[in-house]
Amino acid sequence: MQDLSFRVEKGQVLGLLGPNGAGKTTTLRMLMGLIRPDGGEIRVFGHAIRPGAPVLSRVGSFVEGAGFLPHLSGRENLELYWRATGRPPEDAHLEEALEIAGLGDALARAVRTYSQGMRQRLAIAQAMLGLPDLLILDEPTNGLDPPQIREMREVMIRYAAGGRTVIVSSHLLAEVEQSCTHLVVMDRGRLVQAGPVHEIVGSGDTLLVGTATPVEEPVAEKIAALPCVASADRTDGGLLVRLDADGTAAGLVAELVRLEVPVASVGPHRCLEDAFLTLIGGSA
Amino acid sequence: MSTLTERNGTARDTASAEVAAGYRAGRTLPLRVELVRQLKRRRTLVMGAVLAALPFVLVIAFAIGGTPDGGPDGDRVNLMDTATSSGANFAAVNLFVSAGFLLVIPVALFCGDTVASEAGWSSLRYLLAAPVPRMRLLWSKLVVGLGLSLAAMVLLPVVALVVGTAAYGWGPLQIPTGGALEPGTAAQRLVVVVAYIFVSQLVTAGLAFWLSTRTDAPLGAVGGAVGLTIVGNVLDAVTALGDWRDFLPAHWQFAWADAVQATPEWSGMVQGAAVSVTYALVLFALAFRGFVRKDVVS
Repeated sequence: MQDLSFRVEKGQVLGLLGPNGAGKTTTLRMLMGLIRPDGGEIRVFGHAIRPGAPVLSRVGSFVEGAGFLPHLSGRENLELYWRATGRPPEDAHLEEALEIAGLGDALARAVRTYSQGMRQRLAIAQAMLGLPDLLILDEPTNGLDPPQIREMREVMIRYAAGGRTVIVSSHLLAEVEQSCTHLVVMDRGRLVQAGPVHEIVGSGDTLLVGTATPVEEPVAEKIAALPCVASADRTDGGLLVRLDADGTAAGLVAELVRLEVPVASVGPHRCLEDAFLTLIGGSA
Repeated sequence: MSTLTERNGTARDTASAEVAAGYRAGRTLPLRVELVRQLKRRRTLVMGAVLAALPFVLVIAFAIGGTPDGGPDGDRVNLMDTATSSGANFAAVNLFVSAGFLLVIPVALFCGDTVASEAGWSSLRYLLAAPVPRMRLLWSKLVVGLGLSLAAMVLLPVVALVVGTAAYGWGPLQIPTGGALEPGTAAQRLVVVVAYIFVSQLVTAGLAFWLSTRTDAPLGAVGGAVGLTIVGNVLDAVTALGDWRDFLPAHWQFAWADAVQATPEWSGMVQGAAVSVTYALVLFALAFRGFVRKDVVS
């Protein structure tokens, strides 16, 4: 790990993005005080992180898989974990966490009988016990099925909206694009770029317009000249339109229809993947 | 007025507070919680069952093999020959047959498995990130491990005393070399014997605990401690080592037999306890030192 430096603020969902082996998990382990950085320091809420630092009591974490006592039930595991923190039982918000886990009757079964996905959800619930001010989730959607992935995404967004902070690592671009407000892109132990999602993926106001027939060059020029449009370029099967600050998709579509452009589809240009590959030099 | 400002200040500072409400490092992983986590494990229950079953096995063995009293070589009487004289004798014999090996196993198991199994389950990192300070975590685990070991050592003679009394009656402890101890005195001596066995096993506990902090494989820590205890026994059998054997904990493991005499003889037990405690302190210190500095990657 070298030269990795980033900040995360209250209310943000920070995505830690990088290919496998980029050092995401190592970074999170350092954040939890499990391993020491060779140099430099980590501060959380202004307090330096070292092994067992008291400020970690404000941090909930799920890193590199679940860790439970296999002979105990899911509920017993969470209860004993909370009791091990020594904090008052009423601060645990156990029922809320269990609801997120959504394990139902399985909570009474020994964890050794759980599937991978069930352990995962229980571990995320454990991380949320006590509603920590900073929630660290490492690849939280691995092993979940699509409806659960969507639910997890909503859980994270809601969690941060309540004035808390979430750091989530992933190697899936679509994942972080949909749930994060900010990104840290890493590759081979180095910081590649950090900042708000829209800054990293380019401005969020670029639209990909699909057309039934290719757009003629003069038409593209007319579109580019529209008041709300900054630029318009022909691409395979349509147009790539960048809007002005005051432009809207609805306004653009109305203009396009007026110009008799055969609009088939309009959607945000998903350029995060391009941005990501460019940033890490295409090695992924 | 100043108090009020201060209070306001505190309220505003919660965003940068160092700890979550109600968190105190000294209260993490209380002994009771650690005990519950360990007690419900199958290995704890199996170990207890094995130790509780031993006296029954011996009763059956004596019933089938006949009472050992007045064997063919009546002049060489040992503790084994007095097993069926009374409940107290039976309890002493149970300790005699298990002190060398059977009682090593629960100690190695409870102290060797405790940290390594948490690492194996990955629950260790979540405890450390809770955060349970590392010293505190080891302390809770060591106390509970030693407590369970002691419980195992108490369980065996207590069950043996009950079973032996039921089978052979309540009476004085017959001393192999002649004479007898009154039941009250005998009970005191048995307490001394159990206490000595516990202290002499501290070296195994230390070894197991240290290994436990070094590996993620519980079997490695337990097996390593049992294996080194066996090596100690083997070395102690090499008489050519002469006085060097005084430094082997195994050399003193039966020193407690001196307490089962008309007048107890303490010097052997004192030396044995000193050797065991010395090794144990070094090993516990190594465990704490290594674990506090360790990068936890399991």
